[in-house]
Amino acid sequence: MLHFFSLVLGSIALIGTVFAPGVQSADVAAQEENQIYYYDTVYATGDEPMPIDMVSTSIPYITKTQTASHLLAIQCPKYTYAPAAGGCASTGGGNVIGYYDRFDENLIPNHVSCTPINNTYIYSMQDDEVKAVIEKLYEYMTGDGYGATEVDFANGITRYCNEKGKHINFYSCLSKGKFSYSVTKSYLDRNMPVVLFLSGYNVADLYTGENKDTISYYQSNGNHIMVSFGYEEYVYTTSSGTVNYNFLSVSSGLFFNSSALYDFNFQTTVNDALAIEIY
Amino acid sequence: MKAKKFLKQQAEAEKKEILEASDMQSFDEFFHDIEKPAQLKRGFFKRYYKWFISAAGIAACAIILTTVLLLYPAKEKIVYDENNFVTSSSTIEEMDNDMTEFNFQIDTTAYSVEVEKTVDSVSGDVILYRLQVDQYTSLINFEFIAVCNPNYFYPYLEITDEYTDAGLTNYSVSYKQEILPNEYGLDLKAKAKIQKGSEFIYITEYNEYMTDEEGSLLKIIQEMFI
Repeated sequence: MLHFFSLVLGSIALIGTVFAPGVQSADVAAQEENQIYYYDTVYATGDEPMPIDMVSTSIPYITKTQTASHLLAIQCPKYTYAPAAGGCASTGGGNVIGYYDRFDENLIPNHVSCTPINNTYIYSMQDDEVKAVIEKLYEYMTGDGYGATEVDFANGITRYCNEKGKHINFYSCLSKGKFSYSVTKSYLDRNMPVVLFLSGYNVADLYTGENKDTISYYQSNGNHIMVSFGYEEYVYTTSSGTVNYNFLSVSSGLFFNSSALYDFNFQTTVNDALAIEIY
Repeated sequence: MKAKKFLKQQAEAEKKEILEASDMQSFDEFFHDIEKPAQLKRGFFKRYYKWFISAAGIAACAIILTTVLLLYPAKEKIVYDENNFVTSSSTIEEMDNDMTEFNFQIDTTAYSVEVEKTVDSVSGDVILYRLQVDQYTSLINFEFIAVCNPNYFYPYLEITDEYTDAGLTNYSVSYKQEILPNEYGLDLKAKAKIQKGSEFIYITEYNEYMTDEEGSLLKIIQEMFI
């Protein structure tokens, strides 16, 4: 009888640590119920590979102002390694772990997380030690080749952190059930990376020219996870009025634009966004 | 007696004359009989000889073409499905073996290099190599794709009007670079495409931190890609 109650109490404790007190993500249960699987990587795509299209937009302007920007480091982790098909959750989780490795080198053993430069950091490129972490995360996040749900992602990264003796908090960046840029910015300003769960996404480059900027988007309709490590805001005065462009700086997990801008107003749906704190 | 002989001779002469006449008549008829078809035949060919020449020419071409195709069959265009691509760790030496135009040289005391090879799992064909190059001071790092398969078109770096062309020693480069100020200093970002023969190098990401306006992109390209 004693053993039985120990087992019950132990299970309750274990379940309780999976979602630590800081979890405030709205509708994680609903997410599980909806079973959205995030899987897009290049070249290892999941069961329903999505093509990537390139679209360019020109912005002729009279004046241009960068009104705000913040990066958690001048170069944040931008790992792209995916152990197998459907691996974007583990790649994204790896980027988050890689960021916090600066604060505790034990998170990625035998790996130098970054090089300090002036008052910032240049994070190291992925190496064998980083790949080993991503492979472990892939295993913990189901790793069945069809991708991972948001719950799979949360469970997998939590298990990894707990094994390293760390705690993890998830903070929702939704407001009234919808993605909130201002809430996201507030967590980025507190130097917390934000994980984005997307149905349809883009990775963009912004090129400046003589009174004309060009945004080149690589756009996919797939379900994908990216990690934001910053933001950039621009205001353009054009002949037809004022136009605002707000981007998140992301580590995309894609090999050809591993560090890019993400336009959350361009052909994308943010299903959820979680700021992550590992301590 | 003489009259008899005369009559006999006359009869033979008349007989001969009659026979010859009938022969001639037959011959005339015969000749007439064959002359008409001959004339007919000559008209038919005269009318249609151009068609016959054309038909003969076409037949000759068909025979020659068939022979050539049998001896030298047209190569089927190879199309790769990226879903069949598999990536694994590799080395600079392997890449150099598969690249016929470019030779990659790097000072490994100054840079760390990670090499990955992408292979089509269906055909076993090597498609491309992807390298991440990181300067040990971390002020410069970049990634590039080396496409060594002439049947594969890399779709993820499109050269637009914003790109500048520069002629280097053995090849030309199309590149785009920008100096971006941020809260930490200056950050140079660039992309580039280099072609030599049927091989392409795509610099998909180039970052140079705390740099001056010039940057080192072209200098590094010229040093590393021979």
